[in-house]
Amino acid sequence: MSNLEAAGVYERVVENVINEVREDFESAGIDEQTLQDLKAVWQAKLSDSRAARFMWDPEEAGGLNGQLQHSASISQSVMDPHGLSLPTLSPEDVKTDLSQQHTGPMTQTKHEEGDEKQEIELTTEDPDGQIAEQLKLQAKQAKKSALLETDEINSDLDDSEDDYLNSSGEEEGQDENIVLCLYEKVLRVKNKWKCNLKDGLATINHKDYAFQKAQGETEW
Amino acid sequence: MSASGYYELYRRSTVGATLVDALDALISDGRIEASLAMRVLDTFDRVVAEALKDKTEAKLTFKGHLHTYRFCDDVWTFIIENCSVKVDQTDDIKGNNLVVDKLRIVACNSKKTGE
Repeated sequence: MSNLEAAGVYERVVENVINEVREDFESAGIDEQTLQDLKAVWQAKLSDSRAARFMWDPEEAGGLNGQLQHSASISQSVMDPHGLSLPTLSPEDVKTDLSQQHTGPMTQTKHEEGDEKQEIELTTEDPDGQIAEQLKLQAKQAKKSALLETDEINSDLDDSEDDYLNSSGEEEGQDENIVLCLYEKVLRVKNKWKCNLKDGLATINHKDYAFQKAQGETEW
Repeated sequence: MSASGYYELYRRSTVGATLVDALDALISDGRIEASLAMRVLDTFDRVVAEALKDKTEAKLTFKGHLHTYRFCDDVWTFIIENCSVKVDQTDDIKGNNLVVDKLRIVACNSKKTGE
C-alpha cells in the first residue's frame, strides 16, 4: 500500500492548523499546553485510524508496550487540566484508569493483545457495552450541535426518504468507502457518466489517499 | 461553505473527523469554548484545501456501475457499485488497484473555492 501522499498531507495539515490557531488560543486565554494536548490527541486518533502510517506513529518495535505508554502519557496530560500533579502511576494503575475512560481509542489499547484484525473489531464491540454506547451517543449529539451544525452536505434540503443516499459516513463508520473532493466537469452521454474531479481525500478499504486529479467513467 | 470561503466538506475525512473528536473532548472537559473549536475548524477548512491543491500529485481513476447520482445545492453525490479504483503516484511506486463494492463520492464545485 502506497498512500504516502495522504500521510504527508495529513502531517502537514496537523502542523499548519496547530500553528495557525495558536493566536486564537492565546486571545481566548487558553494556554499552550491545551493546544499541545489537542495536537497530541489528534495525532493519536489519526494513528488509531490506521488510515496511513504517520511519522508520529508509535514504533513497531515498541509493540504493545510502546503504544500503551504513548496513550498513557496523553491521557495523563488530558486528565490533568488544572495543573494538578498526579501521583506517578504504575502501568497497572494506568490500565485501570484507561478502562474507566470512555474514549474508545484509549480503552482499546488495553485489549491489544491479539492480532491486528481482532484489535479493529474490538473498537466497535466495546466490552463495556452500555456505558460506552451511551457516551458515544452523547458525544455524537454534542458534536452535531456544536461543531457540525453548518454541514451543508447534511442540510435540511436532503431528501430524508432516500436512506441509501443519505446514510452519512457516521452510520457506516469505518466501513464506508468515500471520496471527498471538488468537481471540475460532470458529463453524461446517454447512460455513460464521466467526471473530472480534483483536490480529493479518499478512504478506500480503511486506507486514505490524497489526490490532485481524479477521472471516473461509470454507467448508470 | 463557511464564512471564510472554504468548503466544510473535508471535515468528514479521517483527518477532519479526528480533529472534531479531539476538539469535542476538550469542549466536554470544559477546557475550551465551542466558539474556539469553530475557529479551529474554519482554519482546518482552509489549510486542508490549500494542502490538497498545492501538495498532492497523485492521480486517481475509477470505473464502475453508477447506482445513484444526485446534484443538489451545487454538490454532486455519486454512489458507484463494483467500483475499481486505481491510484497512481508520480514516484516510482507501482499504482494501487483497489476494488470496492460501493464507493460514495461527494464533490463540491471547484469554481467556488476561496481562490
